[in-house]
Amino acid sequence: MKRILTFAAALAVLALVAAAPGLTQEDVRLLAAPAFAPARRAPVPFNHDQHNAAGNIEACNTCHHAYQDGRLAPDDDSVGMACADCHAADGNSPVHLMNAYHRQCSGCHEQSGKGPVMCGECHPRE
Amino acid sequence: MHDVYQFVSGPLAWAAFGLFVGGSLYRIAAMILLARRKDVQVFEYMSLRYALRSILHWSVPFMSVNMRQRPVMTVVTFLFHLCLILSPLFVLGHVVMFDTSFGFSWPALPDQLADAMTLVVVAACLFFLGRRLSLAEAQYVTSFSDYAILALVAAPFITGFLAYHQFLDYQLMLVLHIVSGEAMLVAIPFTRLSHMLFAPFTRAYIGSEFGAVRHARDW
Ligand code: HEC
Ligand code: HEC
Ligand code: HEC
Ligand code: HEC
Repeated sequence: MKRILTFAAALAVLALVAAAPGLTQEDVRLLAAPAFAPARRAPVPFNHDQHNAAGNIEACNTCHHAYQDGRLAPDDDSVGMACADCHAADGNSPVHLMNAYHRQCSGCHEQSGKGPVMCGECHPRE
Repeated sequence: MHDVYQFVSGPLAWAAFGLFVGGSLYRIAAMILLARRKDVQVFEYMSLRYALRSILHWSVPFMSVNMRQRPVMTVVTFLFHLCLILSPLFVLGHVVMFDTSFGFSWPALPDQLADAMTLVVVAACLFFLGRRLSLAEAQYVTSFSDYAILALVAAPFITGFLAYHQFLDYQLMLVLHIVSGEAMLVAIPFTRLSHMLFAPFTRAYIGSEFGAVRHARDW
């Protein structure tokens, strides 16, 4: 009984730690923005650091971009913010969240000729 | 396979839509010009009221005698056409692709419903195939091109189903799905599938002649 309780307590602590905010980029493995719920496609496997190392992407603001007065600010970034913080999932954003992901991810893959471009390659079925 | 995918979903898609729209306009214009030259009465008889009356009677299930005489065929045909036209226009994958490219979208069907509609189209194609093979009266008017057209129509739905579920080779299925869909689109103005373009005109004319000239029903 005692062992079970200890185990349960340990699990609870783990769960709290996992749920706590302040994700670092190494923790990003799967893209499943809560703004999409209920999602119609499977979450997208995206191993943040491994992806950017394999793709040789050095500048963080290639993806975490920042804008000033409607123009891309090439020396600025938005590291630490979720895409959903600026791109609304509904239609009320010039580039809504799904298009933001699709255009950024597939756009680079198509241009570089590397990385997945077909729906099911990014949204795999179990 | 990515090069092939990008080609068939890019330039080839533009070409297919261009041929579909251009070919359709050309076929309709050519038909109108031909009628002007050879069959001027067509335009004299044309009556909006009788045209719409006829189209209505042939667009609602069981509103014509012919349909009441063949209940199974009527149900299958209606379901087939409904699913054939609506599922490609409203399936999520197509809406998403359009949105990504043009920033414009419309509501999509729930996946399960689109899936069911796809199976209805395939099942109906099998039904039509079986009918052509088994009924003497149908066999009589069947040629190789009828089977080819059935296959052409069924192919995008079969491959779409396989690609969506990621059965078999996903990349290959998706490419085959796109290519077969484009082939079907291009075939619409240039094969017997052109009844999609002409059916309203044919009905309008027959309806007008029966209604305004013969004072009879055409349903
Ligand atoms: C390069 C990878 C990539 C490709 C290719 C891709 N997607 Fe996505 N898609 C994403 C990412 C990343 C998200 C955001 C996922 C999240 O946060 O849940 C997303 C989100 C979505 C969403 C909104 C979230 C949801 O599940 O409802 C839909 C719908 C979707 N994608 C459908 C498609 C379709 C259809 C295709 C093919 C036409 C496609 N995607 C191709 C990466 C991709
Ligand atoms: C290929 C595009 C890409 C590049 C390059 C990239 N990131 Fe990310 N990063 C992402 C995506 C996508 C997410 C998930 C964002 C979301 O959940 O909306 C993310 C998440 C993060 C997060 C977690 C944010 C949170 O709280 O959810 C951090 C921190 C982060 N990135 C830092 C960095 C840093 C630092 C760099 C440069 C060394 C970098 N990223 C480069 C795409 C990228
Ligand atoms: C600090 C706010 C902010 C964050 C965070 C942000 N964006 Fe953006 N993004 C913008 C603005 C502003 C624009 C310009 C269009 C607009 O007003 O929406 C834009 C434009 C875009 C565009 C279209 C232009 C282009 O670069 O192709 C894409 C795609 C895009 N964002 C993807 C993303 C993705 C993916 C993420 C997360 C990794 C992200 N954005 C995070 C503010 C942001
Ligand atoms: C600036 C360019 C760029 C952007 C933006 C980008 N990728 Fe990639 N991605 C690459 C390259 C290059 C590769 C191939 C790396 C290699 O050679 O293994 C790749 C590979 C991948 C792979 C397969 C390898 C792996 O890491 O599992 C996935 C999955 C992937 N990308 C998902 C995404 C998603 C999701 C996004 C958007 C959030 C994204 N990528 C944005 C360049 C990019």
